[in-house]
Amino acid sequence: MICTAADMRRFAWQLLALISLTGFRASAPAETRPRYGGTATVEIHEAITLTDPGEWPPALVPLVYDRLVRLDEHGQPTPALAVSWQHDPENRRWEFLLRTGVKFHDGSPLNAAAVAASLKLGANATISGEGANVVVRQETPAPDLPSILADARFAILRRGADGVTSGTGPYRITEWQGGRHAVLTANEDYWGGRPFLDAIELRMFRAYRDQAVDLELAKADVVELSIEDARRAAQRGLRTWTSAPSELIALVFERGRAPAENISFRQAVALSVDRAAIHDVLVQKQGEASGALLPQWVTGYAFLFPTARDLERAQQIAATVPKPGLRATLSYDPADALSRAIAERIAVDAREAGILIQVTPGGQADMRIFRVPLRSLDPAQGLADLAAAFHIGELLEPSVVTAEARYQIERKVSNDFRVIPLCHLPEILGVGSRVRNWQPHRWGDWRLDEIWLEPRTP
Amino acid sequence: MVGARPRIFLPAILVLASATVWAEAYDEQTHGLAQKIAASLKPRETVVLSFRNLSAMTSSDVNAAQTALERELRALGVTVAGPSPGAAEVAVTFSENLREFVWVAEIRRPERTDTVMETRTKPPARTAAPPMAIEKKLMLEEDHRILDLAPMARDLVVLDSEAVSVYENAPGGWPRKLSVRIPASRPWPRDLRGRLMVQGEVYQAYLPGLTCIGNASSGLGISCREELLWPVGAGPGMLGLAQFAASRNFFDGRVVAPNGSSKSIPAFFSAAAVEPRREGVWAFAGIDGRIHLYNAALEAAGGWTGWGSDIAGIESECGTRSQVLATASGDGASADSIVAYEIVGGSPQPVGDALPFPGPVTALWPAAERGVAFAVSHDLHSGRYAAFRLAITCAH
Repeated sequence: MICTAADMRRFAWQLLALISLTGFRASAPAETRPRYGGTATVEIHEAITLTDPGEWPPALVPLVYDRLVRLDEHGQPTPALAVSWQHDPENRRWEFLLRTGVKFHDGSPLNAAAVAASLKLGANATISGEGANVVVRQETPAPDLPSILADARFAILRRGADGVTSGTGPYRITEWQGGRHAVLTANEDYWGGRPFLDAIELRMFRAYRDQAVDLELAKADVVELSIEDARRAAQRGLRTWTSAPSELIALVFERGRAPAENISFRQAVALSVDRAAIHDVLVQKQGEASGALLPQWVTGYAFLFPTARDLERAQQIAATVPKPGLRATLSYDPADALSRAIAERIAVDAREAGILIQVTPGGQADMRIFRVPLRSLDPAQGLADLAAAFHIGELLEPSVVTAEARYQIERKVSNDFRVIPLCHLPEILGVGSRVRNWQPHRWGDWRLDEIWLEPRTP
Repeated sequence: MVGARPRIFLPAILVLASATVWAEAYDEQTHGLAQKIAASLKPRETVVLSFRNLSAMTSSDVNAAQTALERELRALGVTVAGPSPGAAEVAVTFSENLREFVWVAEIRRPERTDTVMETRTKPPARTAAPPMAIEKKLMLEEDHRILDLAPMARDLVVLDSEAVSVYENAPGGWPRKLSVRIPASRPWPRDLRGRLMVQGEVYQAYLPGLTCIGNASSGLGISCREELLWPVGAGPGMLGLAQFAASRNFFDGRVVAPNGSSKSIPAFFSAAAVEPRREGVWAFAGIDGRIHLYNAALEAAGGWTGWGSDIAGIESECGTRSQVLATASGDGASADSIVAYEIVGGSPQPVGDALPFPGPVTALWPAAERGVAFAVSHDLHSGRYAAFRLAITCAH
């Protein structure tokens, strides 16, 4: 059979003609599909000085640094750099199988040795790596190890000779002015797919008020908002997002100060505090009033710690304290208007119980207003973080595996009246109108690697 | 490697907990809490029970838990009564945190309150069953590398590295009926690939640098000439023609549209049409290891990594009615799999479980038949090539 090129082409086109062709079109429905490109501007209050994830706000860490495991929207561990894991019956020996083909931003391959060098799990754990397997051996059972490893503090990184860290995340650091400004550029080879944005510009150390203004003027795409600015933003129709309550505001008695060393004085102050007023008025019903260190959604037992004021009992106990001991000073962060308002409210409440509290901005005092963000979804770790922040580590048991054990620790802290939890506040963000696919997790994972931007309209 | 101790494997992909397992867990928690309450009481102590729910448990679950707890306490010798003087009050709260159901009992007496808790990890979130599955049917096996196959009436035309053959549909198998050797004028490149199209009784075979045409009506003829253009896609998802590099295993990126216009895109191994009946997009498995997404005008629209180099777009009756089959990334020395994806918002979403193959998938082409593709796998154990018919089936 003789066959010419023309015959062949004709046959091919006959095949094509038999079917309805897609054809080439002049335009595509861009509005329905994610848009690649663009730079999102993110502003934060904190000043990050180091390219070390341990110093970063947890919400930003996943942009540059992956973890072995991350949490899905239900808080359950799901594969990240580890594709699977297994453990022995005692939950002491865990083995994680690494994803293959992943590289750090400096080009070096991710392997078990690099992970073992990066992970710091404390003195009770040994970590070894061989090929694609990372083995963690714990002295005590660690049934929740995958969830714990999802914490930002366990980000996997490679530290260069110059101390600069390199991650495997969807963005890499391409510009860094510590405490001021950074540019994160899309990792084209990210194992989870190149992010939609070309870059994220991170502006640090921005006052909340300035952030709110930048959001309104469309100079920023994601900003942190104070409660007052959040209310204003909502009134003006701007988009805001509120996390689950994640920041503890507490009244803390300083050690070694005479009034604070009297437990009856501490108890009287604690009972005099009107948390309902603080929650309803000062924080405008954001978050929840709390008598517990960790929020209810993290522990499930915070409801056991009463929040109601008991002025009568406060007065009775205050009456047992010798008169000179009923005076104290209370300091707050002078840059934080909310802390000041809460301190002043506590002084008013205490006065009704017969206690005189002098409020001072900053400096040495008998009491302080503390604001501590929750940095771990693991209640044991969260408790350990708070114990470190409040210098009450001696109250921690060596093993806090069960909810009951954690509750007992919190009960001990509560009965000591040295740390008086007041409320748990959510994180409130302002989100620009150009931002699409904004789907953060309610505990504060912003998931900026998922967003994309509408082009600016002229 | 893992030591000698017995191990429990936790699959990374969470599985749906069955109702039976959940009921068992529920009973366990009830039993555990009852034991702890009883341990805090004196023998035969009378208690008054009260309940509240701070969790996402449904009212029917709460009612069931209350009944079960009372039953358990009575079985443990606790006297459960209505309000009575001297009785301990046991206030049970069904609470929860992010990961656990936390059941709390406060045992209140005038002199003190004891608190006991029983926790249970929440069952994994209910994930929908895979919305569709790939049905795999073995068509035939050969020692030679099968490049592509296509039905011709009741027969099957097969292109392999040596020949074009017609296999007859017979009970118990596919005996070879006719075969004609491909007159290759030079050695084939490594990782040989080929494509077969059939119209009526005429077939056209596309090989690197060579296109052959033949008719199976009387014997099996073949006529070949040097030609670089291959068809890309199938059925409504036909992109046009694309130039296959003569001594390589990929398309060099030059694409010719049905209207004759041509365009250049990055070199690719394979292509798949996505929603071809709408404002479709094309996914190209680039030789750079990335999947490149292009809009209907062949303008770049993003991409991702993690797929293998063979993809095929097919239409089905399931989901969005447009799926892309993709091999897994890996080398030719390992088992392979094919997963069906839908492209949602420019991102691939798996819509079924991975379909395993005993070795690397060496060919994956869409068929002219709706919802069907053909795949060839090199069995690493037998060393033979097996051709499969793949069809998307909707989950019920």
